Amino acid sequence: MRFVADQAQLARALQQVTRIVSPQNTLPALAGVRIEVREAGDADGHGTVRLAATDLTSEITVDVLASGVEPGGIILPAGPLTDLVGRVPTAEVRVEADSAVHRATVAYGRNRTTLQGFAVQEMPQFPVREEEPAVFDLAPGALARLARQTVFATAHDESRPVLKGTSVHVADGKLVMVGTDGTRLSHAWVAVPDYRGPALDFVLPQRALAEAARLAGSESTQLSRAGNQLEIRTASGTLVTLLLEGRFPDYKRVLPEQYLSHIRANTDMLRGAVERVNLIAHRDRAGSIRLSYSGGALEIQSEAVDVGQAYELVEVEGEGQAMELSFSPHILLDGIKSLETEKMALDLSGPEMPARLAEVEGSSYFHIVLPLRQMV
Amino acid sequence: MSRIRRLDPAVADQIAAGEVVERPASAVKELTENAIDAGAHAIRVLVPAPDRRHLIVEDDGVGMDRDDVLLSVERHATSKLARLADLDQLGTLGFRGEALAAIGSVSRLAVSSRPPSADTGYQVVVDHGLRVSAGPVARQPGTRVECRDLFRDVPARLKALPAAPAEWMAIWQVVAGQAAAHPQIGWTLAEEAGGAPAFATRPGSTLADVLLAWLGPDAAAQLIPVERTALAGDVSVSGFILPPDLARGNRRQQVLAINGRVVRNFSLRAAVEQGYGSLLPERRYPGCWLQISIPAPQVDPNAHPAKAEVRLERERAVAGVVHQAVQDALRRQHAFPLQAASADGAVESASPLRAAEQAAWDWPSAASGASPAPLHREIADLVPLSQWQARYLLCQGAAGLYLIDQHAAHERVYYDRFKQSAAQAVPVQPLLVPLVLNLSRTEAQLLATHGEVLAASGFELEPLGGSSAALRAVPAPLMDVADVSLVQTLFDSLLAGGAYGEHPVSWALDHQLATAACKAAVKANRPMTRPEMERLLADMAESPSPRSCPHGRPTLLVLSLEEVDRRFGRR
Ligand SMILES: Nc1ncnc2c1ncn2[C@@H]1O[C@H](COP(=O)(O)OP(=O)(O)O)[C@@H](O)[C@H]1O
Ligand SMILES: [Mg+2]
Repeated sequence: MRFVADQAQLARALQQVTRIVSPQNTLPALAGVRIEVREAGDADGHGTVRLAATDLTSEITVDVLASGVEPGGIILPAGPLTDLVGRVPTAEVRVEADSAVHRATVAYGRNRTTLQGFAVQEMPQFPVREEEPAVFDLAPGALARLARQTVFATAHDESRPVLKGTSVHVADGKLVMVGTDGTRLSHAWVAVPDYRGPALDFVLPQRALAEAARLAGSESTQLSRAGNQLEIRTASGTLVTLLLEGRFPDYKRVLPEQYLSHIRANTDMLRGAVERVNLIAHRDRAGSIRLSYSGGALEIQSEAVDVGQAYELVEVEGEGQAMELSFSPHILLDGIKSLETEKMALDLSGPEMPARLAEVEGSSYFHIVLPLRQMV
Repeated sequence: MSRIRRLDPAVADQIAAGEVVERPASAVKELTENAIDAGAHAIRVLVPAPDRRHLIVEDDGVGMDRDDVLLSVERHATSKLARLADLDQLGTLGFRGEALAAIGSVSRLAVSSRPPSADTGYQVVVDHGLRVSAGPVARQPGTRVECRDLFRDVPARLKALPAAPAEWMAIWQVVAGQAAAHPQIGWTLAEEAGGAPAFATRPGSTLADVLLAWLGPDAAAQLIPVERTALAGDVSVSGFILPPDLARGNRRQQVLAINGRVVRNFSLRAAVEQGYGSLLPERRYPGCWLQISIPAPQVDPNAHPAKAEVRLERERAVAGVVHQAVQDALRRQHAFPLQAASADGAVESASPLRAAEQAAWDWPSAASGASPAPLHREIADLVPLSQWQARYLLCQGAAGLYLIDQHAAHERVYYDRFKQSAAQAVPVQPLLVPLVLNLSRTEAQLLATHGEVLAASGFELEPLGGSSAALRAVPAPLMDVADVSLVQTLFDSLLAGGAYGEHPVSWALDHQLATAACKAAVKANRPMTRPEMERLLADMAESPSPRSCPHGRPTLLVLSLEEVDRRFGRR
């Protein structure tokens, strides 16, 4: 294998794929990047180099245009290679691999570094699914937003593995993503007007979603699901991931059926107030912040023994019952931070009942938090 | 005259017997128990083959005559027990009469023995259950049991055996453990006759001598004596523990012997470890060698096939005594080598301890309130001289020159404060999606009996029928760590009987509090002004255990005037 690539492009591509490589691996090839030129170049020797890395759950591939290509492939250690290419001072990088000894030379100007690698077969590849995949497109930026709004609410511990993923439901021209760690829940959706296939239901690992979102940025994406695999294709690269097994809890049962109070607030104002009140609440391990709603005002307070009290009043529009609730400080703040519209809704269903934070414009996202209960 | 009788089959069946020998180390345990029961003064264990499946145990005990040698290898033949009722008054370690038979059925076993009164000895050889030979032999008084090719014809066992070095370790552990339980016997463990022993003690030793052989002089010098009699003189605990900074990552340095029997007992072990409280870093286990004596009728040695686990009638109460004994020992032990004498007596002679012993019956924690005033006064009286390396406070005080680790000390202060506030009511975070747990039978029972205790501390666990339960709410401060293992910790501490000190729920919190304290405390390389130092010392003097940080590291060191004088050649 041989090719010449633009240093900046190659460095960027390497960074994109190697994010998924975990530094500790029992299989040394898994700490590597697979580099392949699959087809001979055109008449001028131009062609594509495909870079790939995997953590065994997901695989990221990114293509880079190159010149002087000759087919072949090798796996090179991700860390050293990425660091090296990132530091190369010349505009071009030449890579030449000797597949007999699994060694590659990375040359730049008159200088070069030789790296010992592995045969391409040593990196497990995802089986190609035979069945016809269900395919649909997401609008530019949509995947990144869905990830921003759901991944933070998913679980981080291992007690319920399925909660380490985001549930995805596609039906009736809509894709709904839900993430929950057991105490809060994020629910976001986008339109998929072109999808006419059968309803889809699967659970996407949080890491794969976060990485795919990073890869996609503000671009559009194409998702294809076949069996237990999902492929997310973006302009910069492709991520294929295995889906999580297990049944996602029936979250609809915990959504309140009706709300007793409806509050509209300016998102930044409420967020600022909660951030400041949190400063005190955080001082106490058992700290909580208290919201009291009555008429046109929301009072937010906290106190910590030996530290002090905080009090803020935020003017809001609202209707419905006056009510008082307490929340875990960071849970409420995380929820408010996930809202991306200027105005927000806070709907309350009772003092110890779930509360809903929602975007007002577009209403494509809401977040449910459970208040704390004071022990008697 | 023959001493051995066949057990009445009904009695034999009543004594639930299981697999006695599951590995070479368990054979060593059985054979050394027999030697102890035979009143030996010296016991020698040889393990010649590198694969550890060839064992010889030799003693100078009462021995057996011809008839007894022949009977000894038969099933349910024992000289130690005739009726089940006698189990209550058992004075021996063996009672089932099946060890020799069991070993003889899975190896080539040679038993040769001579009572001191007889002129010659007698030997029987059994190969995998079949008698191969029997006849007189010349030998000195006592018994020698040799077992070769253990498990040769039991491929399943053979395959499951641990690697030889691990087995050697386990055998060492058995012999050293027996020595700690019976220090007056002289013990030798060697790989070959005449070879350098891997473990050796002399007849007539004390536990301290045995531990010197076990630990070597450096660690042995740090042993802290433990001594306590309670529950109207019924229960006494004596032995040694090691200070928290010598704790290990495993429990190999722990021996608990009840009436001379080395046992495993979760509650007692937990009682020792909880006695160290926050002095122990996480997942470190203290060294302890404790001999516990309890009236025989309150101990049921028949709870486990290898007799390694015993059932105690008043387990919680006994655990309470052990806990208190360990706590007292740690408190009494002065942080500093000198000046210990005055502090020692004061705590021990106090009379409220009697009342505490009474309380131990019901809720053995009640006694833990009293604080060791001398140490606290000593710290309160410290005069800060300066700060060294922006890390240590130099202070002058009763025992000499004190070096105080500012971070560790401050950490201790915060930890105590957090702990106090954690004991107050906390808000509860209900779970949107309950966590469904699978409980063991014992856990399900605990839930049934302790549901209210749990709910009162903010854990809402609802039985779902069968073996599952739903966790519906957790105390808000524990939300980030509310997973299966937290609930496990909770059950473990409930299982341990809540016998000591604080509320079980607070144990689950301990680690969290320690981490929070570490974050909050002043770090090293932070200059401190004199008022700051004074404040820190004053806070320290209020702490229930000012000598160590919550992770178990010491907070202070002292250099005595005598020591300094000596070094300057003034003495
Ligand atoms: N080392 C020994 N010295 C004297 N007698 C022994 C010795 N080992 C075994 N025996 C006799 O053999 C009998 C059977 O031993 P064992 O099978 O271990 O059963 P147990 O110890 O339960 O009685 C013992 O009761 C004892 O009388
Ligand atoms: Mg025996």
